[in-house]
Amino acid sequence: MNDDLLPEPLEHFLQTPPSLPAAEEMREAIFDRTCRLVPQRLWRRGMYIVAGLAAAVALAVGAYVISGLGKGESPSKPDMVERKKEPEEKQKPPPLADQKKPPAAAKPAHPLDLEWTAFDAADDRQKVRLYFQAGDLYLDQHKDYESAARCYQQALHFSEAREREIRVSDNWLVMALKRDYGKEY
Amino acid sequence: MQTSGQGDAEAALRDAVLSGDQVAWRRLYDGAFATLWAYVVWRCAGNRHLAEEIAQETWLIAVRRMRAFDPRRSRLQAWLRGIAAKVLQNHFRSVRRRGELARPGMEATQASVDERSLQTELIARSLADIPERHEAVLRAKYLDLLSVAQIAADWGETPKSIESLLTRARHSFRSAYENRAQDTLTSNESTT
Repeated sequence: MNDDLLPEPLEHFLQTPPSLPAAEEMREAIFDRTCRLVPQRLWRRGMYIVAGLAAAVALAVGAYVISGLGKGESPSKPDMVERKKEPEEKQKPPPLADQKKPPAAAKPAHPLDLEWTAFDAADDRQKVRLYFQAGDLYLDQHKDYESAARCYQQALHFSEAREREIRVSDNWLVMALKRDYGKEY
Repeated sequence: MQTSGQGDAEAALRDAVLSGDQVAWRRLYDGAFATLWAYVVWRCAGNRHLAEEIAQETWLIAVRRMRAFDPRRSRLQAWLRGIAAKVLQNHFRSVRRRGELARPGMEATQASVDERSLQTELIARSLADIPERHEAVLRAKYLDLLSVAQIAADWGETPKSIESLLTRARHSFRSAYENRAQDTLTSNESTT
């Protein structure tokens, strides 16, 4: 491999790789931050499961009560079936209607999926769109302010100056982050 | 190479972490920290401040994205290195965008005062510019200190093809470095 020596800084870098001991405080600080995310996920998933079970039990009890009442009175089953469909329909509306939608490609349903698609995206324009959309979903559907702020900040990092100007259509969190961004950079 | 024992152990840790087991996370973190840190320091060409930032971001992403880690496809270290490389690439892209918009050439002017920090940044950016496979073979040879024969065995290739790949990797590293140095020089000239 010596037939083609590199410029001195590169050869030195390769032959003598930099080595730094990791500061113990930094190591523990990172662990603490990441560790907090482990139970958080479990807690959230548990909440979703409990909420789902509660809804299922409520529906079952409601259906039982109504069917019990119905047997004693005139038959009204068609009405009952129609009403049971309502909760499903409420889940259908698309997440957000604004200009930050990704191109025609299939949309991941969860903001976490959108966030990772943005993280991996090679194109900055696409990154910005996806990070904004993930932030909107975290904020509006999950009330997860920390994750929303993280996504919005990433979007601002990769956006152009004109996109960082505060707009009337921005939500409160984007406005606040844009204002801070302007002070910081 | 991945052994089924290592894969099984990592799969078990991953599942435990996903079920909220903080002790499993501690084991996984402690087991992988030193190797990942050495890699990040190398990728940052020894810039401690940058290495700490990239290491932290990598671990935060890893814990949030743990469900995506598939021990049947790659080892934990390879998966973490992939995240770190992407974090670093994104970092340089966003810094460049912010730097250009804030004050063109400012980074270069400051760096020219400190030749060593300029070299460090040039090397780190050059490593981020070269193809992933070139970076991987340079890492295997110069950071992990593997012989050509070992790399060939690990990658399922012939020593000759690895020799050839190393030559190409060194060339692309040099080209990336010279391009970056030229950009910096141009940037400095435009500000003076």
